[in-house]
Amino acid sequence: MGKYWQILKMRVQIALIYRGNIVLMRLSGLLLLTTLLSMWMSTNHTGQLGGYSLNSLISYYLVGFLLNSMVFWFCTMRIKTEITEGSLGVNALIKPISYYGANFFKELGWHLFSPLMGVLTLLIVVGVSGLRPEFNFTVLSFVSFLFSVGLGSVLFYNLSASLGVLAFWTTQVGGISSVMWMGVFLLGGQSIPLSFFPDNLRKVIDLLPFRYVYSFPLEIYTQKVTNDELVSGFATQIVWIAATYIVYQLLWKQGLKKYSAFGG
Amino acid sequence: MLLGVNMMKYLKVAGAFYRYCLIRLLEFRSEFWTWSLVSPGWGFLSLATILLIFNQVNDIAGWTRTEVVLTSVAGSIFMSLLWWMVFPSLYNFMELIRTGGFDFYLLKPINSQFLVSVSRFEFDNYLRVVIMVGLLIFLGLTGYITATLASVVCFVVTIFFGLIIFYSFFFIISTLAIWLINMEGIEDFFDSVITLGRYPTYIYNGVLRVVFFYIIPMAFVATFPIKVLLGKTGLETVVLSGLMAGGFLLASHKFWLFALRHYSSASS
Repeated sequence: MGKYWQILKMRVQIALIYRGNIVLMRLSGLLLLTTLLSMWMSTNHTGQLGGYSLNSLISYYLVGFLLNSMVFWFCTMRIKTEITEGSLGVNALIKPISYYGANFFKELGWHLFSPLMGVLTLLIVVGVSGLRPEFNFTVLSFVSFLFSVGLGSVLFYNLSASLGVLAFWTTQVGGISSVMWMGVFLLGGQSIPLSFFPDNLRKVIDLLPFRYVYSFPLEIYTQKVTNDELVSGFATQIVWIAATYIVYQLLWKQGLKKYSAFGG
Repeated sequence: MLLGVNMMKYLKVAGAFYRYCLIRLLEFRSEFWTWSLVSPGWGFLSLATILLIFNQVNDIAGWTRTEVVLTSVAGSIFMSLLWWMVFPSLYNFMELIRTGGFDFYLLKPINSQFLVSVSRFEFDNYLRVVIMVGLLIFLGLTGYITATLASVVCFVVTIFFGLIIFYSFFFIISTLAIWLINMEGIEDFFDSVITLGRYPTYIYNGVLRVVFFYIIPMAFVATFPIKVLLGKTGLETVVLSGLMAGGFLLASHKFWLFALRHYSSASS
């Protein structure tokens, strides 16, 4: 575990050096948040919107903004670069560490810093705009929320890493990675809550992994899930984590068989 | 005559870069075809989001469903054109600053701002432009838009001036690389800025409305072009967009010359 701890420490230091990039990313998220909140508030709607009051919808987006810095991982392109540029050999294959684990801790270094920036930005937004996220939690529901965020985060890491190792075959993975982001954007509830979808479509969406990355934690936060749905939601998150991990390992092992690196 | 010769030289240089980028594209054909499918997908996602929202509300800032759909389509075209002709060169410029390759651009006997601005083109979004323009034509033919030939021409001209405004705006931000060196992550920021303009700008109130109308003129992304197309505003908006485009272009050039005086090479 000590070697992963060293990787984590090193990546936290790197994250602190490139803090400007994290600020830019939060700023980008803030612009999207501004658009969505302004759009909903300009509707002047007083009733329920897809089962949400305007206040709980605002909470959905405000907490969603924070979630962006917690559940999303950006390792796909780094893995792709290491495979296509040949540095995979030096970075992983000759070291006594798991590539999956090393990447996880590399990303975790950034992940420890990014939510702090997210909280700070959110506090500024709340202070300036006067908007307040609803906060009517029990201890159990708050722990459930955090647990679902953790599971969603691991699930998204598995998805990103699996797409990254596709570079053993395809060289470029930007396009296919974009498909995953599209999935999270619409079918994961990043653009609008999933309760806006027709019921028959919703049944299909509930089977896909995207909901369990982003929407499910927010549904817990906004108290849209019953106790039964909470248990089945956690179970589905764990099943998807296991399934994507198996897919990653299969791709990794098959990819290594055909991998060749050049250079000294 | 001299102006004509100069113009030809500049067009030839831009054409040479364009051909070079097309040849580069052939190296990664599978990625190109993947993006050809993915890119229109993003446009459709925005439309799907709007349609789902309008299942719940009657209007957004007083704009009807058709008007908001049109704004999103125009915004999608605008974004695709930026990705085609503007962003790739700006990202390439920032990379050149970081790696020291920018020196070579300064040595060439041609306007350096022009050279860095036409150095890269990306064609991934061509199908999205075709589909979204096709959608506009379809909406026109089926009676959702009542436009005249004059309003269509004014729409195209307003989009063109909008592109110049935002080329200049993003060029000024990219030029900050001369001081900041590493601007990794700026792609997402540029993308998000344009996203602000893909809904009617009237959704913003108070300070935000002032900022997005007058400081970062988001209305020129899609709101004004669609108003022009629908005949809700006339030639005065086209003239205003032309004046704004001229002002922004001039400001970007002045800032460029100022920045170059502070440039110190990263290479040896």
